[in-house]
Amino acid sequence: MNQNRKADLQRKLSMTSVPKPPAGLSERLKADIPKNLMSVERNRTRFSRSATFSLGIAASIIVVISSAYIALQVLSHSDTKIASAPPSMVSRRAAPASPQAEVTITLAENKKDLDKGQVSEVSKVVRRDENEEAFADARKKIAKSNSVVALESPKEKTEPASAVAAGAVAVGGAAAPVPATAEAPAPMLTRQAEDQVADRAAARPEAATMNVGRIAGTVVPPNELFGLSVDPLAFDRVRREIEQGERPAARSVDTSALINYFSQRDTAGRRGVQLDVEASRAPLAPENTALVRFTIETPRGAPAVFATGADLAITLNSTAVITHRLLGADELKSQSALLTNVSVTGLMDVKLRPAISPGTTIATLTLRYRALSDDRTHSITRVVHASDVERNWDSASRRHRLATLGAVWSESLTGTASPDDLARTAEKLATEEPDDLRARELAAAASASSRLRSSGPTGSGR
Amino acid sequence: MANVAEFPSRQPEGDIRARWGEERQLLEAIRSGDRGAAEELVDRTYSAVFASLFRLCADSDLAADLTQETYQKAWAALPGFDGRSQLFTWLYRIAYTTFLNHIRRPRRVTSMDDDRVPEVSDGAPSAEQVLSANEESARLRAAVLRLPDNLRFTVTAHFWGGLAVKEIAGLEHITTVAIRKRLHKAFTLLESILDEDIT
Repeated sequence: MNQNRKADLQRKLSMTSVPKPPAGLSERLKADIPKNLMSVERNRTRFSRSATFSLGIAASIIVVISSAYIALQVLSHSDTKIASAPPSMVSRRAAPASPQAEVTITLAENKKDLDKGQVSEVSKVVRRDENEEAFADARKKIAKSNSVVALESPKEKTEPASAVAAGAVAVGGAAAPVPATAEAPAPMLTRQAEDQVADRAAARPEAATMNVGRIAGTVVPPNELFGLSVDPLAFDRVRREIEQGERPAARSVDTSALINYFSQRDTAGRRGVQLDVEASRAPLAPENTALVRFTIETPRGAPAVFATGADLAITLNSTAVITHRLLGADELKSQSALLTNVSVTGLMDVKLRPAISPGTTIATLTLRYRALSDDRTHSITRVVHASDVERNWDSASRRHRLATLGAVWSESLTGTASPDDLARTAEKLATEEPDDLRARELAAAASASSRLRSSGPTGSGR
Repeated sequence: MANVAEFPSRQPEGDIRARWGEERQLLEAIRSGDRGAAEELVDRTYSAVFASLFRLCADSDLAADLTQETYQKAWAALPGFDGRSQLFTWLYRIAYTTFLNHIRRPRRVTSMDDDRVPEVSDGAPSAEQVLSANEESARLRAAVLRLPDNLRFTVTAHFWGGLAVKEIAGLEHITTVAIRKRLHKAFTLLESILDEDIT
């Protein structure tokens, strides 16, 4: 741009003619002056006091949290000495029990190339030297700090028979008992995959040491469990946007939280940690698509840490599964502390190979945790067979249907699933049980969102 | 032009300093509940606020309405005004936001290509000259309003609101150099937009 043109533009911008303000504008403006300007100032003072008070409270909270954090850091530092095990100490789960301490970690091998005959996730056991004294000392200190923390005890790990007995298959009513002893390798774990994981763990001793040696002092995040969002306000946010006639932005649709919103059931009086697994054909989806639901629930009771070191491993059979996808999350994470009264549901979308026999194992889900009540590691295993997955969606449990339909609706909002027939299916589900508030909410939201003008895919949700 | 409202930035620096002190007194008086002080604030600033809004919307009635809305918001926001910028600068920010809110309101969008002849004061040149000038002015206004948000605010605040570069930098929390860069970029864009319109 040359200087002349610039000067010309500047001149034109500056020389815009302006008429006189309309007569009476000044009077109109003066008439709008608040009658009592003092009240405005008083409000300001009141607001200022209120803000000061809020800031004071916030500062106190920050001080308390910081103190707790520093205390935990100090304790972690003392425990790091415990975890100086060499990489050669990494061993397989099938190794014979020894008096040395064991801590379980999960190495998420999120492999997508199932065609190569490899498993998706593998749990490994890492062994380390026992240092009972140091650990007991750390436990005492944490108990004094009165914080919600999770401790992974270095005591010898045993799997009581009661925990093993819990490993009955609950999918589709086929209650075939499954041995789930600590020594038994995961059913779908291939030798090759085991070797790969062992090699990687050995190649990264510092990573293993870091996970093993740490006292996991984690206050359980209220909106996330096992890496799955359980934000109770996710549905309200989406609903508000729909009610305003707007198609929710993909980034504001929290699929995992919506699944959890619709899968909430009142299971008052339950005892112990429960792993509920169910599978069916996916609603409104191609024939070979199935949805596997898993719900982890802890006992009812006063808020407290119930278990620590919880970990869910899902092993998929590569001979039966073409692709798989965890809905609304990238991967599952370990949960360092499990509180009472929590419930979390996840859904896995699996595409199956054609013509697999009904008895073929599709997936094995194993939940492990250390209960604070008996300080023992428990494990619950559920196996999903092809016959379970073949089941029609209509014959699945109400919880399963609501959760899966909620997921499909959520994906339709993010543009990764078609909203066709969704509203009608949701309406049908709501009609079946008119008292079910969540079903009615889903039907209303699905119906409203199906009427919104289509703005095309806006990206994938979480 | 006699009818063009005066802006604080076009006054000599000494006057501005004097006025700065006056403004603080005025503000204190308003805060202590002095209605007369509030009326004086209106008298001092309303024509400039109206002028800047008229330059933005090119409609006298609408500019008057927006001016009224601006002051209503200003009274409500007065307790939060920290006095670090000039009163007019603060008022201009409110006026500009009010204008943006107005054009974003559904069904009340002001036409960017409105070529209605604005009211012109007595003694203006011939009708043809006025029409030609107004057409050009409307094109320029439409081009300015098509600028990206940050550039548009900078250009309008500087040329139509009469704010000094330093004042705008204070409002935007950036340096004066950055404001000058913005102005340069805005001119380049304006040139291309205007050329586009002609072709």
